[in-house]
Amino acid sequence: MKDLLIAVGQEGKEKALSRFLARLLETGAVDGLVVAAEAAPGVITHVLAKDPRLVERAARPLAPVMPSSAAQVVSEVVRRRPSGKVAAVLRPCEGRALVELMKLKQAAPENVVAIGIDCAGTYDPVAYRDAGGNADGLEPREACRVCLNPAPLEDALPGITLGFIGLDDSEGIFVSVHDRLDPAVAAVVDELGLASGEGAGRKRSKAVQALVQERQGAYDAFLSIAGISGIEAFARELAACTGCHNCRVACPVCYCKECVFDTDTFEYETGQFLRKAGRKGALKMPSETVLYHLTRMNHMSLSCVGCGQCEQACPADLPLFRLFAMASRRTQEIFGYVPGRSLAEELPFTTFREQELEPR
Amino acid sequence: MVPEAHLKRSVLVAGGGVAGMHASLILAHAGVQVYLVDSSPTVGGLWSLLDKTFPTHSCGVCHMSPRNPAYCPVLEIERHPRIALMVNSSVTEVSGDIGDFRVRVTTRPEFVRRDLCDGCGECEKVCPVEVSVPSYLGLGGRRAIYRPGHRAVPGGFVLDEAACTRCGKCAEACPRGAIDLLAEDTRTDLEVGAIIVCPGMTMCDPRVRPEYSYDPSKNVITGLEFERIVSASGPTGGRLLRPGDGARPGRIAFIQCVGSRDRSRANPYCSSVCCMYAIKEAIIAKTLVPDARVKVFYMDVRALGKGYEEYYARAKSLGVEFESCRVSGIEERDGALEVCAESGGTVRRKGFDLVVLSNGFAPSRNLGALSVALGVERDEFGFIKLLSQGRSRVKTSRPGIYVCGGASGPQDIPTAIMWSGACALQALRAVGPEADGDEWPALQVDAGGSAAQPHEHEDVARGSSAAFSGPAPTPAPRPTPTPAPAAGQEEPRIGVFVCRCESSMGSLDPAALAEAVCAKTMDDVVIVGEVPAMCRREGLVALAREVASYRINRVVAAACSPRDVQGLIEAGLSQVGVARGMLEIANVREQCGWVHDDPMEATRKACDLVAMAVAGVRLARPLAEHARAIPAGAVVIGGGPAGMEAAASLADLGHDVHLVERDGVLGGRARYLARTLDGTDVHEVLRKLEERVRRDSHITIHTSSRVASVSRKDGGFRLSIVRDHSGADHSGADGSPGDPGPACGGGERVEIDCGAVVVATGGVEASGPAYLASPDGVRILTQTELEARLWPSCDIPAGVQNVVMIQCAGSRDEARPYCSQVCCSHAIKNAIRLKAERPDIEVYVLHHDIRVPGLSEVFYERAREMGVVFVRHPDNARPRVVEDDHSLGGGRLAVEVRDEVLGETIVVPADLVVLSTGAEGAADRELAMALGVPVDNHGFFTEANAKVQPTDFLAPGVYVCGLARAPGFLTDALISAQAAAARAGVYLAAKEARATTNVSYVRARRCAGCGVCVDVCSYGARSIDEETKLAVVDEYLCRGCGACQAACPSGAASHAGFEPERITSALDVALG
Repeated sequence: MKDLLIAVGQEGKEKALSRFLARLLETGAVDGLVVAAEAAPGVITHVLAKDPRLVERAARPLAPVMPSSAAQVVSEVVRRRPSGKVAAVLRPCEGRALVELMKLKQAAPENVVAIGIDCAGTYDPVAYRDAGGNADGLEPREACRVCLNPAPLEDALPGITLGFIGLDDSEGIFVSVHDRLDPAVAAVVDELGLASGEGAGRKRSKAVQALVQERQGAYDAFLSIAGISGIEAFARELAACTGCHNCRVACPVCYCKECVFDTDTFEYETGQFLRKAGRKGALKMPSETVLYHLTRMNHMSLSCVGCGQCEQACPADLPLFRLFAMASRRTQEIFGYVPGRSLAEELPFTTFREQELEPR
Repeated sequence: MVPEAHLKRSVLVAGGGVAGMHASLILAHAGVQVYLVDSSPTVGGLWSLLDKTFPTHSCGVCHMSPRNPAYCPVLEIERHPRIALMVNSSVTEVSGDIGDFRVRVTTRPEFVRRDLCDGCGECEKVCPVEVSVPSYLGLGGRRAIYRPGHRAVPGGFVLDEAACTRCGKCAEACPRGAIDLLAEDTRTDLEVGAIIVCPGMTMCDPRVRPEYSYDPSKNVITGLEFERIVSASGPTGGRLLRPGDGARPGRIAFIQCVGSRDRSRANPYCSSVCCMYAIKEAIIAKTLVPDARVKVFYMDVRALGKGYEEYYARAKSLGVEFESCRVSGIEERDGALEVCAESGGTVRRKGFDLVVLSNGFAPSRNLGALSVALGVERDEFGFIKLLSQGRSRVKTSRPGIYVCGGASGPQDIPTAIMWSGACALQALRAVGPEADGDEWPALQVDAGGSAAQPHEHEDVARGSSAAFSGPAPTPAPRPTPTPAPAAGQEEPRIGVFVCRCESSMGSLDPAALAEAVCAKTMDDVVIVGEVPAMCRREGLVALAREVASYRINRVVAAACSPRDVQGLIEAGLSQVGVARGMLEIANVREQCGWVHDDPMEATRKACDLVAMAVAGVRLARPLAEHARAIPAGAVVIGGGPAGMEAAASLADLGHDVHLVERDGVLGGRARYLARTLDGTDVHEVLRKLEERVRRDSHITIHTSSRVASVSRKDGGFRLSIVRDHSGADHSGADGSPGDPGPACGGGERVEIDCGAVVVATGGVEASGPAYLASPDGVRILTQTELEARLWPSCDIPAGVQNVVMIQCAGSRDEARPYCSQVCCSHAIKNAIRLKAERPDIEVYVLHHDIRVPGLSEVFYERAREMGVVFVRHPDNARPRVVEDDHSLGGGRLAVEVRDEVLGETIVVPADLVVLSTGAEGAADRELAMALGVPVDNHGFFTEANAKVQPTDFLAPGVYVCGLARAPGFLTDALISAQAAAARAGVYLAAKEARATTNVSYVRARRCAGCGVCVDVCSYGARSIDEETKLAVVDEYLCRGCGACQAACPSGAASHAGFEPERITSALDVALG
């Protein structure tokens, strides 16, 4: 680990960052860059950039919205016949989701240079767009308000971490360079002759700690009011589900090529439908929406990084983030598993240890 | 030798216990006719009385069959066309020679003719004679005519000759005229090429120690009685209640060595099994009554077997207490039992509620008469005398007659399994090797009836005319012999058949179930009928006939566990045109009839299970059958005694073998041993073995060679063997000059294709632990280093007066929690030699349990008689080697040890300290990975099933023997090598591998290539294709466990016959 500092001038943090990112493309250290950019006023989207000038001009690495998870974007780029190096600017939740996808062979680690970045929280993209890209008066999304990971997890992926929590512009942007960072990228960083960032690093760590502590209370309070027990209560919460499966599309760790809910497994014969309806007098249609959410929870709660994209994507405004947060906290606790912490950490359901389910 | 033309391709196996069943199955699968003779009315032996077995805590006996798919061996023995089962029978006369014996078998009268009895039970209802049987058998009282057990093989009723009054009521009541009370003994003369003797062991009478109060006290029981009490099929339904008053015991004691290690009153030898069964029962007691105080009183805990020491440790961690002492008596006072334990000269009395006597074993009661009939000698203890040590261990004094199991001395199940494998191998050699195997035998159920017995019309599908809910059947004149090409496509026509199960359905009445099923509407069901037991020929014939006449294409069998009968019924149905996979079994016996007392409830639930099965089978698709050729030949990796023996044994069976040895010479670790405990010259054994493998044209030897890579190729393996030109001896010790070996000369690398691989890569002598002192070759030696100075001549310096041996130096502790098994015998052997050669030397053996197996107890006795001093220390207080105490003069060592008996620490001066460091595994993990076989934390290969498949791996075609599997004696290594060769030989002889039918497959469109299925597969059957990045399945490695389907989120991993559509459809019906 090497701690450095990028100085921030008059143009502000985002421009300084963009220039740094453009430099990676310019030198040819990476073949592409996944970063957020502004497509129209207030409309943020991810792009796979090749042109450094474009990055310098339009990249919005600090845009306070997450239209989709960059983890999914990276996976899409480096899943099939991966080659070359693609750098990606990743919020903490995106970086952790990418680690999970890598464990599931949905992205090739050797083709990715992860550029983790502190996250100040995000807004609903529609509200942000409607406000013309002006965040004044908007409230961050619920998932961000209780987020306990505002800074990228160190060591999860070999790359660069960019931090600014607790630092004002005059103090610059903290840069932490991983020991196993791709040598070409490391050379670019060396070439920039950045100053040591040890002092800034310490200050940032303290600020991150304080922020997490402050949010811990909010998180606990959030989970305690979200307490939902039993299948009846669970079904009530999901009553408005239209079965659109948008949450699945938005979920960064839901990786199946073809979801079992899109197959004929649940294409019942009429007689089966009528039998189901007969059992309770009436059958909620479209059918199996509760089973769908339970299945997603069963498959993904261990890898859930709490990004809240599911809830953001839901047209019925279901409390999906809360439900997943409740479930995943419990399942992750059982196995002592932290999604995205390390590539070396095995997915709990692929291993068996004799005592894994015993109370700890 | 008998000329080849006269060799009889048949073998007689005397004894139907675990050992006899295993040997019979191997021989039958190798194409040999087997006569399995047992003196009791059914097969299974002592094993059938056991509830659980150590250390696996499961029965697992279904893994015993040498070929997949495996069924319960007992059923397989009954159905295998090459096994003739002769119960109630004994061998009474043997003449002739190896390869051509004539054997007379005398069978006690068969009062109930098995070919006629269909198990209806009418006889039992009218029998007026009540017989009380030992309560521990869990049967309560029975009649003079009775059924021996639910799963007894052969089935049907038997008559208790002694109890029967010949009143004749049963004969009148029998609707089939199966009972003949005037039946007489019958004699059968057989011609066989070899005989295997395995009548098992008898439990010692616990009354040999009258002071233990077995007789007066009902609460003093034997280990076997305990086993029956806690068994789910026992008298208390699996609860632990003491027999005296039915109370729940809070304090339970186990007393070891009752009838064993007791020269004055019973048997001088160790029974080998009792420590482990007591530990198992103590664990069961602790599980059933968690707050109970469970204590084992013992002399030495002889956890001599793979995983046994760990099992002992587990018992301790569960709170079972162990106390080393002698128990001088047990007294009962007002229902409480007082155990008097003697240790260090003091007697303490302790109160218990239940005392279990771990009584040992004696030779089978029939063994005397049997040995006379066979003309084989017995040893001083009454066991069959073994011809020699070393290679031909299983041979008796008469050529062509082999012994295994308890008839040769006390043996636990894994040992008996290995010995019986070795016997099967010897028998195969004796009847003439033939590398040609056989087809998996199919039971002919041609519905035309020619192969089957004639059957009455009323036997068939009772209620069939009234009981179909589909269109009227048009009986087909003849069944279609093969599945129609469009199987699975045509309209479902489902037949539901309720098995009458020889009246063993418990509370469930098959007729009532058939009626209930009829009354319920189920889609596509054409006929509901009852048939006789479907696991028997007449049941299958009746089933086939119904299926043919109603043109059924999917079948639901309301019967017992699919594990037992699925393959059997499927094979039968496939002969009348029902494709594999189109059968679903509702287990109404175990899940309804046996667990619900109320017949109404049982019927209701059974009906629901049938409805679920119907819903499932409607969506069934035919299963593909996978078969591929197994290439000829085998590779044995490792040229120590086990490897050489395995190669020689496979060559005996006619297979070509490549023997690969890393060193320049053959012999392995055994080259550094001089003698075994019983005095066998190890070098002589090795010399003969080497001569044997070098002279055989079937064997190609590759010395100074290693296996560089292994890959699975077609149905077998491709090994790349690289010869190391330096010819270095990797073990670093002296050996004779390296032999160039015929095959590799000049070439660097040889590619070998083969069908089977035997792993015999051995292990190493562990190094001494640092906390004691390290061997320095002068004052501190390992046992092997000492042995090198004792033979051929004794080379111990004259000044040496005290030799101190430290046992378990580095074993049975945290780093190496297992017991190396051989060190105690090793130490005793060297101590006896020292005492014999140098009577002036004092020898001390510091230990915490002297573990010698079975009959070797006599050597332990001899060592003590010769004045070897054995000092027992607590297992948490290891001896300490200290430098020179001044009082002893310079340059000497001393050993500090806590004497458990005296209760104080003593210091023993030592001119020579000898460390028993034990054995360590040395498995090559890369090789293991390439072969797809597991290695444990200590470097030993992990076999498929520690109990009943000790020489197999889960991966087909790979076998293990010798020290590569577990520490053991030279004999164990040779026996295990023969057993592994027998199993490998059967596998190769089949020439064709068949996959399990319910294998998993990949729905490629759904597969995201995430690899989760690869991680969860225990059999290495799944991988990600490098090109497509999609999961692929090797059907021959897949065992159809379904773990991949459970783990795969998208349903891409599918388990044939268990697709989610089928399961959800069945669940939907279950919900009503």
